Amino acid sequence: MESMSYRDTDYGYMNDLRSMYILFKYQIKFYLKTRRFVAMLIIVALITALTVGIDLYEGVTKSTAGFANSADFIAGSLSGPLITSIGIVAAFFGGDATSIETGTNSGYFIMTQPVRKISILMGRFFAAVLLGFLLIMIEYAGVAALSQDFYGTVSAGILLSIIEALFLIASFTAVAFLFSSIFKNPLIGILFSVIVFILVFGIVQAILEITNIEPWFILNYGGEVVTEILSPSSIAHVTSIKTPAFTIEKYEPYIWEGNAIMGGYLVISLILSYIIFRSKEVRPQ
Amino acid sequence: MSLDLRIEVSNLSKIYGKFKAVDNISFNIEGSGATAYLGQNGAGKTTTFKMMTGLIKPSSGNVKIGGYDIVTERKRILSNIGALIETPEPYAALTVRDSIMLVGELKGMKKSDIEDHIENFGKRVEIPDPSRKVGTLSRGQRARVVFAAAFLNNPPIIFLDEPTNGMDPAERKIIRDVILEWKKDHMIMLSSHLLQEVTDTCENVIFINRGKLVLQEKTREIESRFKSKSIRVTFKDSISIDDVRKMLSGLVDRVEDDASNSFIIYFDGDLDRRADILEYCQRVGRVISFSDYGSSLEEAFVNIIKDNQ
Repeated sequence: MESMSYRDTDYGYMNDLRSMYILFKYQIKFYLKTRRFVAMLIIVALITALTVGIDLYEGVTKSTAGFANSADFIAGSLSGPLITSIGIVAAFFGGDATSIETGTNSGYFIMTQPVRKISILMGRFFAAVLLGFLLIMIEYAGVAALSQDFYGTVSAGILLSIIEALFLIASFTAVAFLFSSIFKNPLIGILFSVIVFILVFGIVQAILEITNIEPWFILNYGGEVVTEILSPSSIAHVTSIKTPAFTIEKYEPYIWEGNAIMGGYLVISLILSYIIFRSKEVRPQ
Repeated sequence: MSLDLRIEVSNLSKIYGKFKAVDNISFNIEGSGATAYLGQNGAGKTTTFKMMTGLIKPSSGNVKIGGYDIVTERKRILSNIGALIETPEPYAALTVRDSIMLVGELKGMKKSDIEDHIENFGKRVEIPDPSRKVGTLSRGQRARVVFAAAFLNNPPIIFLDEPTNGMDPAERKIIRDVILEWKKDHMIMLSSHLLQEVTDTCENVIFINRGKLVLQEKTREIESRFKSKSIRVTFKDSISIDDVRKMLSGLVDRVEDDASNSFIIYFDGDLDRRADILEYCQRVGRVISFSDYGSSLEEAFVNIIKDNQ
């Protein structure tokens, strides 16, 4: 029997971690060379410019900003745009993460290599989260700079907010990965993620609050802790807004509650994403 | 450690619903050389290749590559084989170098060894400038990049499913030359629709039809059993097809125009009849070329498929 010498290395968990790192590294290169990264950079820069620039343009100062301190100012400035930015970035980086392997011929390139699907999934996930995080830092940098200008300081609480933002990016990205595993077409995965994150979650949350139900299962709701953590003691869990016709209960998540919602989405979405990805064959459309 | 040059396929089946894509196929291949895996479109060739490289799991049966089971030892096997299945597409945004580096690193190779491969093997198969993005390449160029990636790590066993798909004749020649060189001390399993390519490169042939294995034989033996039944004849001067048909009337099945002064003659393959055809053609005009049209393998392919319909 003819035989040839061959590489006999470890094929266990350490090798899987190594493969994951390789996929992570090349996925970063991939993202950085795509138009979508440039598009995301422009979108986040625009949102930051709108957040920060309007204040500067209108000559807002510390006395007219309406916030007592740096922490409140940062929370107030980021509360709306940050979750939107995170949703968009996560959708564009995660919405085609696995469908590019199961729904296009790229699958035949990578899946015939000695790499497990879990390494592909996690390598890509960490790459998407890291790049999303770096982009979101642009918004933090803009608001922090303005806080320094207005208040002569930047609240140390911004660090906790950044950690929560990283958690939220990971959660949104995990959900986008789940959609990428469900849909074969990479474009549909991205679009569906954008629609769910920006429209569906927002609309459902609004409807629930109008009907006085706490939207504890909506990721956007849980994600509000990203800004809430800057001044948690000053925020009530429920605020009743009375109108002549009816009363609306405006909910704010507890910090633990927001973290639990984000953690739930992160873990469940990643597990489901892996199960679906593992069960799918490469079948280009 | 060593990897035996051996592929063992036992009672392999793949069933999708009620459709049997591969139906209880068994074969063994041993030693260096090239084996062609042939069949019509939809016969189950690519499905078999996918099962042999762990892309899909068999419904039943098993595959052993170099003595290892593909289901339980998939990663070990894929580290030590080359596989080009269907039409793989490297990521469009990555460069040629990055695409090959990615595969090499996943196979556990040192970066310097991968660079050497890009430099030497890449030059051999004429890959494009390594700094170019894959998305800017033609189909043939991309196919050569993928081909170069499949040969990383000097794999003892190489699976090539339609490797020359999308390539022009010059590119096909490059690939054919590599296969001819590598098969001397490696095992290559090849699927192709270009039967002349198979005749030129493979000494063994496996035919499958509708998911079932119908023949495993040496190419030479098949060629001797299935003589060519068509001839291309070229005349020096302009000849009317009617004159050729008239002269060969009753001797051949049919005559068709090929190119200028060239005709394809279909007959029963009998050698005496072949000699007669040549003699009669020479009566029509001055013959400058008289050769087989198509390959014996093509003849075998058509007949085997017909017999198994």
